[in-house]
Amino acid sequence: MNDSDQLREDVRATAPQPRPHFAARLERNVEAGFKPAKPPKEPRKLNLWRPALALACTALLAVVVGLVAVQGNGDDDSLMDASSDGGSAAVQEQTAPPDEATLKSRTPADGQTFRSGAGAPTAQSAADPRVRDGRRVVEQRTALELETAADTFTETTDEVLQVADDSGSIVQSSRVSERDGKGFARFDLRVPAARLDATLADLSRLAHVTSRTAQTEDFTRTYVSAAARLEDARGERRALLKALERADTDEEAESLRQQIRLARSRIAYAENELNRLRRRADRARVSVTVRSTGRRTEGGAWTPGDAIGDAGRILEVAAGVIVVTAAALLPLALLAALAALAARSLRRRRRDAALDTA
Amino acid sequence: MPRNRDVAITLTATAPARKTTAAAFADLYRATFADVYAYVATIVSDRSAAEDVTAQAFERAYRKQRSFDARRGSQRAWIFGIARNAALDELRRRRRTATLVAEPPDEVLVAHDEAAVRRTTVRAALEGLDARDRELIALKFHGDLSNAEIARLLGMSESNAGTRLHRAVTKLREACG
Repeated sequence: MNDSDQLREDVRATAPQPRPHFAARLERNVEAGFKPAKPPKEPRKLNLWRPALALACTALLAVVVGLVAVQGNGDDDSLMDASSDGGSAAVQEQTAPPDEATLKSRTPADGQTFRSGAGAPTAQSAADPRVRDGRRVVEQRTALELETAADTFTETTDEVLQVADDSGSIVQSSRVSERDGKGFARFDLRVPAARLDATLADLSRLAHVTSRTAQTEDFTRTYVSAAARLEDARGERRALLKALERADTDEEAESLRQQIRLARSRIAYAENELNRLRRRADRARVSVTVRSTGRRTEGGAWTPGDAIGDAGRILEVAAGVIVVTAAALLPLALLAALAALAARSLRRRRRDAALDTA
Repeated sequence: MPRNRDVAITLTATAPARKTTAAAFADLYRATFADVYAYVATIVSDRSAAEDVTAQAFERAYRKQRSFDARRGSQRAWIFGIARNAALDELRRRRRTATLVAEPPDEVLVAHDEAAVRRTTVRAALEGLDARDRELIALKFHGDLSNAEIARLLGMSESNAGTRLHRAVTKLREACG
């Protein structure tokens, strides 16, 4: 045995020995698994409410995310200009699609409102039925908002133009745009007043009506005044013509001719004014807005394709939430890790320092 | 309590990475108990405290069996690490130096026994070393740990541990004369 082995044996021989009763007690504790220090766990009961609660929360989250994704496609703004240039106005608004009865009820029942056919002849003020029969002269404005699925948007806008053509309407302006599956179209139509109700009914059948606003402007007084001015101007001209026939001198004749020219100008002006008012009464303004929801539907059924699309959107949202959460938590995690390392190092140094005092 | 380093080594070599059964822990306990006690007593220098710390260390180890990772060292080194932390925590708590230590062995009473005289000299020499050197000697000779295991336990490099251990042994030899 060399010196090293001898030293090892001597050191081992000087090792402090545990007292037998302590060794026996610890032996018993080890064999008992130190159970007295910690009460045994009760057997776990089968809890079904936890997975049920998790499932319910997941389903709720999916529904909320789905609703947010769907509602994010819509926006609305009023397209109807409700301004009035005078006279009495009556405004009606419907947010639900009107039915046939409602459409028919919109036709004036009292027969007092005049809506003539297109192309009223000029210079008939004396025999103007509007003035002669005392009917009301009104201009009608209607704003119709339609909503379609993304895959039927183009078809619906084409059908709006088709309805306009069939009803003899004039398309004053149109604008169609489509991007990212969302479409928007606006048509400003001049619809023959006599065919307004039928045209609105046809337009309402093209898609889901989300809003319909009707406005009527009564300008009977203005019309009657214009007709009276025209009649007066014509009567004045007839009188001047008769006076011209009886003129004795050239000077008198020339003066009458000049007055006849002025009367003719007044007649032309009055005729223009009356024709403008007639056009307002003869052609109703109809503003048609078509929006697509951004979703593709086939007969309204929720297809597996829709389900896959919805699931994709939900996953996108979930991934976004995870990324944002990770971005927020990463610095905190780094700080916590650094703090843990520092605490561990400090604890080790303090322990080692305790050894120096032993 | 007989020492059985061979059992401990065999246990370390053949035990699966995570032995969680009470029987496996009991094997580990029996293989290391006496050495752990000797090491703890060397640090805390108080028999009662050594018993408390030893019991506490084995209970901690029992509760934390799942935290043992065979890739980071043997079970023996693992339990010595737990015992060291418990002993140093006890020192910090007490902040005092206790008087010895172990019961005087029987051989001390035999005045003319050469081995007994030599071991009395060794004991006195050990008490003359500073605490850090005493710990190194205890880890090496009581714990039977390798230099690498000692280095990992003390948080230093293996070469540094070897150098310090060599110096401690040299001091012990010099003190023994």
